[in-house]
Amino acid sequence: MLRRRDSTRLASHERWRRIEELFHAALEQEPQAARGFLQQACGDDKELLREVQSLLDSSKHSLGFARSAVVNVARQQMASLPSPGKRMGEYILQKKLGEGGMGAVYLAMRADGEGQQQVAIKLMQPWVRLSPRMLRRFNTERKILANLKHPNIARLLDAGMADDDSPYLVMEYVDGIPIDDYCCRSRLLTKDRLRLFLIVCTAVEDAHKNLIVHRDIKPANILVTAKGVPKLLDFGIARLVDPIVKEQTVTRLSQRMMTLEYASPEQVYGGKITAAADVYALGVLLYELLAGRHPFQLKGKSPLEIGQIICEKQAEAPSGRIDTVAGRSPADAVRTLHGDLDHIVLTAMRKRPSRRYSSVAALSRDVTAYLNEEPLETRTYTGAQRVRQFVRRRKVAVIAALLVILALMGLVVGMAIHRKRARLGASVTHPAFSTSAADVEGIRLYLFG
Amino acid sequence: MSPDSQGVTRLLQQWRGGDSTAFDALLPLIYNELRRLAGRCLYSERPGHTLRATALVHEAYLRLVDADINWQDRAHFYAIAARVMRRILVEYARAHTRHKRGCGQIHVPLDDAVVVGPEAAAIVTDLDDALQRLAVIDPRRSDIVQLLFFGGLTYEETAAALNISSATVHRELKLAKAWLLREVEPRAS
Repeated sequence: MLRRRDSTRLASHERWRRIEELFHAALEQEPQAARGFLQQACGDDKELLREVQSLLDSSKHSLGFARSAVVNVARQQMASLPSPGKRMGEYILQKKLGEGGMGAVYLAMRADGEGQQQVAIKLMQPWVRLSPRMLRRFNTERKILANLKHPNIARLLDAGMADDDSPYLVMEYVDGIPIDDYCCRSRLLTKDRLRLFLIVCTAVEDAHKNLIVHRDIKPANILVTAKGVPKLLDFGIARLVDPIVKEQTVTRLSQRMMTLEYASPEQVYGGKITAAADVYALGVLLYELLAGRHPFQLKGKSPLEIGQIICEKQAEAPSGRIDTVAGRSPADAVRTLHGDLDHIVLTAMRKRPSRRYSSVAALSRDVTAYLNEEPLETRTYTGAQRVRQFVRRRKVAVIAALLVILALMGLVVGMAIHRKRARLGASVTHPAFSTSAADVEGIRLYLFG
Repeated sequence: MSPDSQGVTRLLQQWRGGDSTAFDALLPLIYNELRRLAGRCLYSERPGHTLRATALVHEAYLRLVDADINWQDRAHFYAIAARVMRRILVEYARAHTRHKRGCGQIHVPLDDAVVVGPEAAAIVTDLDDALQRLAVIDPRRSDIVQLLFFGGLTYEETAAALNISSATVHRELKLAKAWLLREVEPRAS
């Protein structure tokens, strides 16, 4: 059996210094002389003598076995990543779907074969356990997910502890592709992209109702299934917003974990985080879905430069940055985006949280208004814009009215010509051109009822 | 040099400057790099070939950190890598000995014997316990052993990381080893 010394028996600091001194001094003696030297140096302190003597005895052996143990545990540990076939509670891992900084996600199936339901199992990377902060975050994700039940949010089904005591989450498996790829591949029209976006908004809104801010909304975290259902995933850095405090400061840690490309200015500079951060990210998402590219050019830039751009640079309107490879006629796309859609995207993406849409619901209302061809709640229109708006909204009525006006004008012109002719020569009046006052009245009644 | 190297260098400086969250941010980077390298070593391993922690920590360093980083940051990187390695291995070893303890003796061979399986795990957890106790009475000796055993550093690197001479490392290690051996070796008394 391995033996341990009681730590209470450890020498005090001064005693340890004395032991140290005698130990090194004894080592410098000839082996035969060492014992005598120690007995003399320790005098009556038999305990000290025993202590130093036992250390000297130990020093004759090598600690090589301990080094060897460390190396071999390293080998075992490094080879111990779960591989397909490993059982986790009631599930058996099938394949690794992805690996991130904090965890790896596996596709898994129920071990008892009951129900062919496939699930996604999110495991913590072993290093996460080394950091109490990270461990807390993983537990927060579990609590947050347990509160969310929305058809467009990947659901938490179960949680457990692996045999090495690392926690894992069992999630609804979403067989889909990122929303931007989906829109591209399905060549969705702008209106269909907006409808899909609105569904995503309902999911985010639901999270907000539960006082949860997602904080990492981006295309990779919104998968769309083959049936066209979008699902919001990965609440890994989401956080509960304290309803009393209302606003919370971003921790530097979560600042480092988020995806900078979709981070709001306040997430970058470490300001107060509210639901407005998600509104911003939804704005960036909508920008990408409509223009086919990210609002800022960030490729090859350092995190510091990206942070500066996000905090300071005004995004160009999406209609001005349309990606021509998106499969649409650029001119059409510009016309579609120009105006209301530009306004919606840029309002959601405003630098100051208080100047954005006050909620995801408000953003949704404007998108819905656009789809219904109604004026946006948040936009003030000029006279000309009002006319355009009116015309677009009541296309049929306006066209009918125009036709009536044209018909009337035709009639008036026709009558004028007729009168002129009548005045020129009453004698040559043809019966077909004679129009009495009664006839005119008849036409008027016919047209205007 | 990887694109992350600037970030790692900055985090190292922040951590040295007292920002404790920088350590949390460094952990995954260093951990993943160590594991990736170890995975590759195991894959191409010949029988009898031992996993060299030294090589791992060095290679992780070259990949993660700016080349022109100053020696203090370099030493700090090694110190974190050693700490990360120790914690990774000890956590693992604890999980694998928890149920085995108390149900039969574990025979630990001495000196330079190769130790595998549950014995290795038991020794690692004992070594960790002992190092924690040593840290109470003699933090520097505990650090020396951590850097040498878990970080796989050379004596010179250990000396640089702790800002002491190599001769001091050699000298201090003698007592540290004797003390640890007495704490973890099974045959004493």
